[in-house]
Amino acid sequence: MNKEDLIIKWLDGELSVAELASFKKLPEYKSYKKLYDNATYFKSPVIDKKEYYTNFKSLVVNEEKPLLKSNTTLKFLMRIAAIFVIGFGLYFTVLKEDMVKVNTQLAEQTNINLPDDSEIIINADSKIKYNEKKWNEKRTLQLNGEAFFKVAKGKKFDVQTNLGTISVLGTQFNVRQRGKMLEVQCFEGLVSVEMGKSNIKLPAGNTLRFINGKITEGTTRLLMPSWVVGKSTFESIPYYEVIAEFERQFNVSVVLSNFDKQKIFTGSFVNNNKELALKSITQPFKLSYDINKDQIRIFKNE
Amino acid sequence: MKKKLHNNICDENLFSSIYNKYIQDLNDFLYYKFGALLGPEDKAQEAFIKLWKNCDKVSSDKAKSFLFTVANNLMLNEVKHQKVVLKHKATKTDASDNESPEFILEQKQYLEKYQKALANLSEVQRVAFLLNRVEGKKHSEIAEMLGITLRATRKRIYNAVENLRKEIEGI
Repeated sequence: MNKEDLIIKWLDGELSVAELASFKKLPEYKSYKKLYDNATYFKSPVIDKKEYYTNFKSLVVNEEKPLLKSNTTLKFLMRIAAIFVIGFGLYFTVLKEDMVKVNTQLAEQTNINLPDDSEIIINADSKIKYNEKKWNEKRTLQLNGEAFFKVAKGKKFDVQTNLGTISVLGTQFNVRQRGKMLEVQCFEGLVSVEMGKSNIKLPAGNTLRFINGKITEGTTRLLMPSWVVGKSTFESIPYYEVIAEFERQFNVSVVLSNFDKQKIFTGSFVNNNKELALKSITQPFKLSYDINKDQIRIFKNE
Repeated sequence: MKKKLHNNICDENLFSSIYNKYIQDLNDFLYYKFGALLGPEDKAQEAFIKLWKNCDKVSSDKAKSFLFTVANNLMLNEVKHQKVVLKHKATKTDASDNESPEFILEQKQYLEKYQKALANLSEVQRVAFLLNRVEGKKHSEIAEMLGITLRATRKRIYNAVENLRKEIEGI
């Protein structure tokens, strides 16, 4: 059997014991196996059929469906078709949820305006979700990643993240939620941060950092987060998060060798110059680096 | 006299069995073809709603192709300028694992390359490959689901695998 047929049979789970043995002897066997084993990481979500069906039923309106009369003239048929089409259109507008979802990719930032003219600047690799239609009654949005909020005066709303909810009233503040870290900086007005049972108020000029189960409060003299003007800043942040942000801003892969990724880093890097940024994050720890297109290696030279 | 449809799917028992039969496959198809960001679950629900509204026009043996066609069109309307990004589950990065930091980083890089390579595959190759490997479907099942020949299915899957290997390992 030729190689291609062997591979196809393997993919379909149809190899005999002997055929499998010869497949395993192929030099590329390891690479096929790795590809195959890791595909499961991309699995689509498993649907809870009961839950979905219940949801489906609630979306369907109980109504008499128009039956086509058997002795229809063309005009009558067209009238029915028109009613059906209009019914369909209205049906969809009324029942659709009007969720707005904004996602940024690596090395991308974007601005959006909320229905009340509040402005949000979203940093790379982040997601925001809110209900545009219901904004007046339900002023809640979900954030995964980092964003800078300028909330119109007198307007209250909530930003939900995996780690806590930030409630605001006419302020300017930055929320950075990456992995298990949550950082909130308030630049103007008042922000209240709720995490589990704690509720911490942050007036302008105050910051809060929650990482590794600890909450640290601090201050800032900035009027807006540095990344909005092109610089990523870190204060007592583990190195692996600095590297993760570097990867996000420059859309590259970084491998760290021979160095403790938990080491605490305080410093910054510019978002528009990769070499300069690399120097900024390696020099403080006397690390060296290698660049190979979009693969970067950072390491300690023994 | 207009001919009445024999199996009218307006009966709730029949409809709910159709729903349970196809909802996961439909969702998987949309997810693998268009990615997670465009709301595949919502489009799948919408397709079923349309089917229900048309229950007196669509027979049960035509239900599957109705659902897949409608859902596909709903997604195409949504696509416009969005890039397809299939998310992989977060690999654990706590040191509580027995894996070394180097392995974890290497794994993360491999998955990122994999993710990009998947997005670069043609839609038809990606869908066929993921249905085969991730959902464990046989080639014959995939051929039936997508309405193509067994030979075409095998070609798509094989080409997907070769393209992925080329892109990820730079062969």
